[in-house]
Formats: sequence, structure tokens, C-alpha cells
Amino acid sequence: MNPWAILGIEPCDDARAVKRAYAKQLKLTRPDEKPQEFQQLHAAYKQALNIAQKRSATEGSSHTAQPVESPQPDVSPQPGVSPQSIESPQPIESLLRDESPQPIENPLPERNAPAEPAGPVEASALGTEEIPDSTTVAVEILPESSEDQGAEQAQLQRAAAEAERQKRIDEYQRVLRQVELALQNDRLIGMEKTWHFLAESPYILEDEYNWNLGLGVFDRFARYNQQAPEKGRRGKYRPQVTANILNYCDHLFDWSGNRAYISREMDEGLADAIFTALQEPESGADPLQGVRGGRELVKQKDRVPEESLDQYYFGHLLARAFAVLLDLFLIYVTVGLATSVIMMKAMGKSEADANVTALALAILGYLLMAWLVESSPLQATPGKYLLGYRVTNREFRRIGYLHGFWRMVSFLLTLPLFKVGWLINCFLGGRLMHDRLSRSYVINFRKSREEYLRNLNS
Amino acid sequence: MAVIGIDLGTTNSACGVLSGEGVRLIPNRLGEVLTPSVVGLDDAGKLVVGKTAKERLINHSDRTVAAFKRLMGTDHKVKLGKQLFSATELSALVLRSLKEDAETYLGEEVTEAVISVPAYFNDNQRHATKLAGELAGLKVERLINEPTAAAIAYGLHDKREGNFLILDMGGGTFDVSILEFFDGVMEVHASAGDNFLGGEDFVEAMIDSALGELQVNKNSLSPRQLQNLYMQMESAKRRISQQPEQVLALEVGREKIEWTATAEWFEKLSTPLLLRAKRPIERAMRDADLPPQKIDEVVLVGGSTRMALFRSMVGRMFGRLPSCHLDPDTVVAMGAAIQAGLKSRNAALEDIVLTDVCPYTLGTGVINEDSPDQGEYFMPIIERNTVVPISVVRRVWTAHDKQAEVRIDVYQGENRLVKKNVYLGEMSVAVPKGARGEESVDIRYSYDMNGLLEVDVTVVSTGKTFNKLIEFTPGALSDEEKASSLEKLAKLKFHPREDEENRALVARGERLYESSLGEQRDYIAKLLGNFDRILDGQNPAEIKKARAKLQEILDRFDGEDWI
Repeated sequence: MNPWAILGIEPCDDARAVKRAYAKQLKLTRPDEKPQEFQQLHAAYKQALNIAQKRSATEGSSHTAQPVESPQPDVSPQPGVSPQSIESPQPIESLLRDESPQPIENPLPERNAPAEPAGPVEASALGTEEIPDSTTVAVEILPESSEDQGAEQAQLQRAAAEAERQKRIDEYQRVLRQVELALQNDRLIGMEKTWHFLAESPYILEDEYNWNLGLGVFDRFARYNQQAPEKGRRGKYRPQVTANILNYCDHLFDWSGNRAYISREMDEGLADAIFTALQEPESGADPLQGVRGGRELVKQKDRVPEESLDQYYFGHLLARAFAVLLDLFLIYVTVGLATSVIMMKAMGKSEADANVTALALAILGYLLMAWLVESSPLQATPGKYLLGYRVTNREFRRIGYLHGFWRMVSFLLTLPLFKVGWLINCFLGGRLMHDRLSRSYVINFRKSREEYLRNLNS
Repeated sequence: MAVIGIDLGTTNSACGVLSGEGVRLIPNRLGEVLTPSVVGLDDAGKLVVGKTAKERLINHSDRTVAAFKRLMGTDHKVKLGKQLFSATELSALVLRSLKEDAETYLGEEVTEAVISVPAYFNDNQRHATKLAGELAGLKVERLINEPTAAAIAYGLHDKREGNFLILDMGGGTFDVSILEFFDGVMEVHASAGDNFLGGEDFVEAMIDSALGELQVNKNSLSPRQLQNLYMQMESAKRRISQQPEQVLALEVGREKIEWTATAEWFEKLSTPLLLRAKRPIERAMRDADLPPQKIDEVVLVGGSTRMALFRSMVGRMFGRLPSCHLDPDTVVAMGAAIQAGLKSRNAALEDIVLTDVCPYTLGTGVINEDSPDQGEYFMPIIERNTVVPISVVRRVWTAHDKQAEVRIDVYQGENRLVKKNVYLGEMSVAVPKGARGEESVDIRYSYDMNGLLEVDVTVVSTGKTFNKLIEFTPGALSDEEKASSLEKLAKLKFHPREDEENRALVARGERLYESSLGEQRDYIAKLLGNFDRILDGQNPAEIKKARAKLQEILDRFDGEDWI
């Protein structure tokens, strides 16, 4: 839809008028009352504002001498600051204004001296004052003082700036030397403390210095890690710069925030090795840090959200009998046969004796296993699991180990009834005697869930 | 009926109300507008909140807790005496105290409130805050982002137009918001932040550094010594810019050590924290697509922005002095109060509209065929810093032949891999079986003004819609749990309001008694004994006189009020 129609104004290139119209409409379309209309209005507003700003920009540039595409085509995106949108040509003045305050992507001389941009930026680039409007301040002062003084002052300023800049370069080189030194000490490399000197570097809070030092350190780390395996082949263990150190440095230099740029500047394989090692969610802080007082902090168990279905189906008697036979067979094959073989071979017992013991062991093993796995998060013996059955308490949740033990005892208690027990169980509708006695259920979870999903669908 | 606005802070809380005369901050039972967010139980099992509790933090640290806002939305509980409390419950107790103050002050029942939360709070933390309000008997009308609240207060105060950058560093959280004001519209362009960066971290760093230098293990200190150390470092931090060299008498183990805190030392240990603070600022500006010189004003909010180091960092970044002509401690509460008035359609605010953004990207997990061992990829549905309320639909297709079910996992975060983002919940829907890619579902995420998310899933071929999201919110309560929690909290009673001043004074006296020695100690004991006797006499006039006198004497020992 036409954004201008939604805003209720004629197409124009006046951003202020667009804002005014938006404000007027917004008061009739409050976001909390008419969310959908508001989204539409907001989208229209953004679109109209964009059009208006582009139009006025093109018009504005026709007044000035010529639209400048980009003064330094090879200038890389500034760390931390969005690059100017290239598709909209801007008047020269605004470009200059935008340019000066940003941390200038001006790598220190030793990195790539020839690429250093010449021009007016240089003077204000480094120095204690990274104040955006330093140029305007200078302009304001100038008319008051005489020309001579002005020139002198400017020269002094430039000299001071140069001196400040030199200090930073020296410091940069000193710190990088320290990094190289630290990398030679295998024992200390993995300790965060070793690297605290990085944060203590005096200019670290200044954008440009921080950025360049960050690149320098990144470069050293990447090379070091790449070399590591070669040395390792000689049999001597050589550590890598580990994730904890990389994360620490990432906090200082925000590598991950400028990943795209670093990957482009450097050898991609080198950069990627570091970035994959950087494994961490955003903040490295521990939530527990800073909480004061209290006898102790207790971590609650992770509660896995459990789905509750609308209805559950009980397991079928025959299927359960099948499951028990299957389980018994499994246990007999693994535990029982093994013991009977051992008994016959090693202890010289007769085959009949061995078989009886094996069978007894298998039954005992079954009881033990049933107790343990039915109370575990699996909630079923292998046989039951195969059929999609689960053992639950009366809230259809997992039973605890104590409850599970009681369930096993209940089962033992009903065993002496033999065939009578079977007969009774046939009339109990899937809730067998020992289930009732132990207040637990055996449910057909698979069927219940399928049914639930089908109901949702219809 | 009045709706109040509450700033539930890590260190301090405050509340306010909007009336005909404008915003008023509500004084607590001690007559102060700031209530420390400290909760404790006294020996009689009664509830102590605020300044009195803060005084007791040193002597009764096992029954008192501070800065628990950091645990909001996690599954940690705090043990006070023998009882376990979740951060939500502790917050509810602070809220209840504020609610009672407001009721006394306004002379009417208060049942609704707007509560502020850090802009960068995630969904779990927001749910926990809302629940805390509920447990305190407050219907939470709206959760408002703290920097936005501050901006409202400033905007209404100044009536200026332009782009504002709000930096809000409180005790435990750091938020950055960029807003534009024009013609009664307050539009948030971008929010960013760090949920675990605040004044407490600076104190923590000071303690770690000092103990490291002295080669003392933190765990070897008694709780009393540790809390005392916290207090000393806290006040050293506040004074450090005026007094670049301070000699502190630290009690470590059995000895007392004189230790000098210098401005240089503080600067060194603050640097990593300040660097961390720069990141969200840069990110917010990047997201809002605004260069620094297009920011018309930088506004500082929150007690920690008083730090000279922080100010000079901001000054250097923007080349101008930041403004802070409203009290950084209470401006959020004022903004929340205005929002509360806005909500109840106070006539004076008819022509103000606020639009906000969601600070995180919200999305779902999709199959990662490139490197399955890394887990699923994150597919963004609502991008961060989109204006809210918003509702976005994205379609996904089945990945296997004969797939009968599609599971939608809901995540919040910025990482490409879901495992590094925050997991919010999941939902499964059945789809008719078919070849892979044949069936699809539309996932709709709706994000409301409170920063809470709703998810709807529609199966395209059947047209059936589901919205039963199984939420995974650590610390969330079922209805029964809520009832039992309410019951537990209801059993905790405050002392009568009029006693509070006396209690606060006695708590302070006891703290001073603990931290002093020799003659001074005996003297304080005698003073407290006297005061107790007068309290027992129950003669209001006499008590008032004695209180004033005791206060005066304690002031002399304490020098400053450290709260």
C-alpha cells in the first residue's frame, strides 16, 4: 500500500513533515490498542521517511559541486560503527562531518604504512582528544586569536598530537612484545591472569588503539595456534591459546563483533580457527557473582517440561505378558547362560543344576532390572519400551526409585497366587494387582500420544 | 484507583505515582524514597526489608540477602535461616513492602502496578518479574524497560526533541537505549545491554584484586568479615574520585591490615568492565544506524553512572558531557509512574505515545545438515530491535519422508547455533504424513508491549492452528506451587510500621558495635542498652527524643550514611 496514503499526506521530501504526520496518526493508532494497524503505520512511516531522506539528499547534492561517492574507496568498515550507506550519495560537508569523529581505520605504521591515508584526518586522528567536534571547536577559537597565534597554536597542537600518537605506537609495540614473550612460556599460557596486562595497557579504552592492538593480538594468537601441531610432532607437547583466554580477549577487543572484517583482512583459515574456538554466549559473567548474604545458594534441579496428554490408555494384559517373557528371555540369554556355562566348565556342576541356578538368577536379575529401569528416565523395561509402554505414578509422571522398589515387592507378593492370580488379572482392565497394590500405572504411551496428536488435528 | 510505577532494582527500589500535580515519589516507612532491595528474616522470624535489612547484612548474613535480582529467571534459590526462597519470592517481598508504603501514602488500596525491568532482560526474567508482582498481590499492568522509563521522565521533563542515548548502569545490569522524541512520540530505535554488568561487579573486582594482593582466599573469610569488606569497598568506590588515596582497615582472618586503595588501582581493575560496557553502546548505535554525532543528548541513569571513570569514558566516546540533571537513582521510578498514569489514561498524557523494540532476536531451531554435531541452526523469526507489538510468520517444511510430527523449539538470542541461545519452550504439532518437503507449517511469533512472546503454529494443509506452548521457564510455578508460595509468603509479617525507624537505628547500632573495638564498643553497647530500655517504656515522646539523640551519636561514629 502507498505509505503516503496511510500517513495521510502528499509525497514530499521533508522528513520533518513525515514525522509530524506519523505522530498525528500514531495518536489515533496506539500500539497497545491497535497492534496491527500500528505495524502498518510504522512500516509506512519508515518507508516514507526513507524516501524523503533520499530525495532531499539527492537534491542537496545537486547544490554542491558534485556528489562524492566515497572519499577513500578502500576504507574498511569502522569497528563498532555502521558504515555509511553507499547507495545514497551525500554532500561533501556531511561526509566530512561524519568522517572525523569515527575511530579512524588507520592501522599503526608498522602494519601497513603505505596505506595510511593522507589528508586532514591525520591531525585529529590520534591524540588524547578524540572529541568529535574538535574541528568545530578549533574553528570557533580561530577568529578570536590573531592569525599568527592561530598558526602557532595549530602547530603546537599538531606537535602535541604527534607526540601523543608516538606514545601510543610505542605502547602498542611494547604490549605486542609482551604478548610474544608470554606466548613463549608454555606453563602460563592457559592462565587468564597471564593476560591481564592487556587490560592494563593505558590507552585500551581508546577505540583506535584498542582496535589495532586487538588485531595485533589476534594475529599473534592465530599464528601461534596454527604452528602448534608442527612442534607437537617432535613429541613435545605445546599448548594452544585456549578458549578461556580467547574469550577473555574477546571481551577486551570485541573480535566476534567485528568478525566479518577480521576474516576479510586476515587469512581466512587463520581467523576461522580462532572464531570457532571462541565458544561462549554473550556475557561471560556469572549470575551468582554479586549476590550477597543468605546461608547458601541452592540450585534447583532442572525441570524438564513434561507434556501432559489429554487421556492415557492402559497397557494390554497380553502385551505385558509378552513384554515380561521377552525381558526374561533377554536376561536369561545374557546372565543366565553365561552363569550356567561358567558353572559347568569351571565348577564342574551337572547341567541340570546349572540350569536351575541360571533360571533362578535370571528371575532375580529380571526383578532387579525391572526395578531400576522402570524408575529411571527410561520408565520401561526393554520389552515394554519396545511396545511403547511406560510405567508411571498416578499423576502419569515417572516413579521414583523408592516407589519402584515397592512396585517390585508388590509384584513378588502377587506371584504366589500363580494361575489364580492370572485369572484375576484378566478381569482387572489393564490395571493388574501389583499395579494397584503399588499405586502405579503401566500405560501405552505410544498409543496415547498418537491419539492426542490425532485429536489435535481433527 | 491509582496505578503505581515501581523500579525494582538490584540495589535499590523505588516507587512513584502520577497525580494532578505531576509525578510524586512515594516515601517508605522511614520517610525515604529509596528502599534497598535487601530482604531478611529476624530472630523472631519476622520479615525485614529495606534499610534495616541492609544494616543486618553484616551481622546476620545467613538470614539476609541482597542483589538477588541477578538470580531472576534462573533456578537458584537462596536459603535464609532454614527456609528456601526463590529470587521471585524475594522480589515479591520487596514489592509487598513498596505496595504497603504506597497504600499508606495514598490512603487507598493499590492492586495494580507498572514494573520496570532492564531492557535486556530475557523472556524468562520478564516472566519471573511478572510473577513476583502477582505474588505480592499486584496485577502487573505493564512491564516497562528501564531506559525507556528514564527517557519518559526526561522527555516529559525537558520536552526537547531529538535523538537520545540512554545509558543505564545500575547495581547489576547495564542497558543502552537509543530513542527519538518528536511531536509527543517517543520512539525507541534500539536497545542493547549486558544483564550481568553493574556496580556490584566493580565492587567484586575490587575485592578480588585486594584479596589477591594480600594472598587471602575469599572462602577463608567469615561471612561477617566478607560483608564488612563489601561495605568498605563499596564506600571506597564511591569516594575514590574525590579521595584518590584511601587507607582502609581490612579485617582479614585474625589480623587487621591497613590497605590503601588508590585511584590508579581502581582504574586498572575497572578497565575490563568499562570495555564490556562499550560493546552494547556500539551495538545499539550500529542497530539504530546512527553515528555518534547524530546523538543529541547522552543521558545517564542508575547509581553506577556516578563513577567518574564511567563518565569520562562516555565523554570520550561522544565528545560531550552527558546529562544527568534528574536524580539517576529515582528517574526510572518516575518514568514507570508516568507510564502507569499513561496506562490509566491520565488526561495530561493524552498526546504522548511510546513505541518500543524487542532487544533480542527470537526464532526457532531448524535442521543443520552441514554439521549435525553442532546442533540445530537458529532461524530468526523476529529480528532484534524490531518495533513492538509485532507479529511475524515464517514457514518451515518437513525434513523427512513420512514425517508425522513437527517440533518447534523456541529460542531467543543472536547466535547462529541454537545451543548458544536461550531456550524458551517447545511445541509439537502433528502433520499428515507425506514426502519430505510436502507438508509445511506456518510459525507465527507475536511479541507484545511487555516483551512477552506468544507462539501460534498453523499446519498449512489442514489449516489447523495450535498455540499450546510448553514453556521452559526456570523458576516458573504451577498453580499449586503458586498457591503454596503465596501461603509461605503470607506467613511472613512485617513489624508494625511505626517501629521501623527504631529498628533501623538499632540495626545500625549493632553493625557499628560489631565493627568497632575497645572503648568505643563498650560505649555503643551502653547506648543501645539505654535505648532498648526506653523502647520498653513505650512512651512515644521519650522514644522520639532518645532516637534523635542516638542518631546524632551514631552519625559521629559512622561519618557518613553508607546507604
